[in-house]
Amino acid sequence: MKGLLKKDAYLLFKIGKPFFLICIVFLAVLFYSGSNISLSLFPCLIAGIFPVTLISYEERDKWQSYSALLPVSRAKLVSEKYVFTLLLLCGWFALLAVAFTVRSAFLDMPLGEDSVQTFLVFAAFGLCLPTVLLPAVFKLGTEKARIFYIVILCVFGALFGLIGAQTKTGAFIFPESFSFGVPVFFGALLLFAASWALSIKLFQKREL
Amino acid sequence: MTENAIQIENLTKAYPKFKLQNLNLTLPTGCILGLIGENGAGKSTTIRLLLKLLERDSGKVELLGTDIDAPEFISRRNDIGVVLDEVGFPAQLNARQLDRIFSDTYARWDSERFFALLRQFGVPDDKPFQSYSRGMKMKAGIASALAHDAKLLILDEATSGLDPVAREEVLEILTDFTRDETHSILISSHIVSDLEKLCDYIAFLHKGKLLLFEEKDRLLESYGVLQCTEQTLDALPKEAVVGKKVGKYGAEVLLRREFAPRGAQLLPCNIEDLFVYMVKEETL
Repeated sequence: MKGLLKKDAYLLFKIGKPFFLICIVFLAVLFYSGSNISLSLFPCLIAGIFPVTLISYEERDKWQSYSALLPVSRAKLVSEKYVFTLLLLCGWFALLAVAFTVRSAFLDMPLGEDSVQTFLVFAAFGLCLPTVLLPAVFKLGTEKARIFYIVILCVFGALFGLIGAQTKTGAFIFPESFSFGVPVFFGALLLFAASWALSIKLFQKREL
Repeated sequence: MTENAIQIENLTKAYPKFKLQNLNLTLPTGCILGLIGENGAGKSTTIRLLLKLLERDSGKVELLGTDIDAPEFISRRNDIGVVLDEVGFPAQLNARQLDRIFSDTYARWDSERFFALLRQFGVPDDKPFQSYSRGMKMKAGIASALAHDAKLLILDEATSGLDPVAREEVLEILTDFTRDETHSILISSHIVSDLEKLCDYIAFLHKGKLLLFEEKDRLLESYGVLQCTEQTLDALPKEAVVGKKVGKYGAEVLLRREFAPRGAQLLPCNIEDLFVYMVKEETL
């Protein structure tokens, strides 16, 4: 798996420059944002979707067929993408931890108690997209999985719309903080693990 | 050392408009097998089935004595070098990065050999693969297939897109590769003249069926071309005629030498002639 992770790391540095730029900009805004940390969600979502982008490049370059000829099992080929997702999310949260530690130490702007819980919810959101998308991508390929992605977006859009319709304002407003981060994060992690196992099963028989 | 590098038994794969039917092939260790067929004959399908890129409907395949469905086949891939018709390297990466990736992937990756082959082929190691021509990509693919001490090479149209000088270089390298008795090659190509120079065995595929599988030298000795009249052609036993071309001034008949009329002079034929005659006859 080390070689495969290296390959994705090289590609990340080649094609992920916009992602790094977004992270730096969001980090800078968050640094001075006071208690509003909702901006830390967006790099989580991008980190979660990045492995799907990598797979689309692999399909274009025919690397998926080539990698199936390496002395690596299909289970490892799938697992590498899940591990890479976790590494990207961990990387983003490590940056956040450093930034907020510095902020707390030098600018006397400590994080609120709810902030850690909120970060865990955002990490859970970051895990959501790959949890849902990766099995479809490994089964169908990125072209067909795109349709699945659009359906999921529509479902979530409708869901938030329905929830918003029940509120006083009639619109769904994303909360600034959460207090139930731990169970949500561990629930998301469990679903991520289930998605991992499903992707391995689906990719074993896929013709390349 | 296993007796056969490749053993295929009753390999079958059906698509809506094509069927690979009960393919049986054996490549003895230390030999080179050329797989010839027209476009759509099933050469790439056969190779992809061998490599488990496609799921077969039935049959059994062993590469280097290992069943391709066995768990140990994954580590057996260290001994198999493959070059497909599209090489499959990530476009944004260069050969140096690929070397580092493969060093961590293959058990016996040899960086020195990889870079030596790239230098020999004139392929730069610091430019991204997307900047390579098709020929350069093929050469890089061949270099990587040879750089991990493979015992079996499987090449699908690997010399297509190469200029004649590069093709000659590659053929020399492949010939060198089989000087080691434990090394074997399966190569598919449209360029029949390359296969004729290189191969010990020839297999003809046509519309998913194996028309012929024979030692190359025996093939060339066993068949000849008879130029005769249509009357002579009609008099020949049907089982003798492998293929024919009938024109205004007579007929050219490809037949097995043992069926040649007494005293008839048969012209030699090459592999390409043999294949074209057989396919035309099969089509009729």
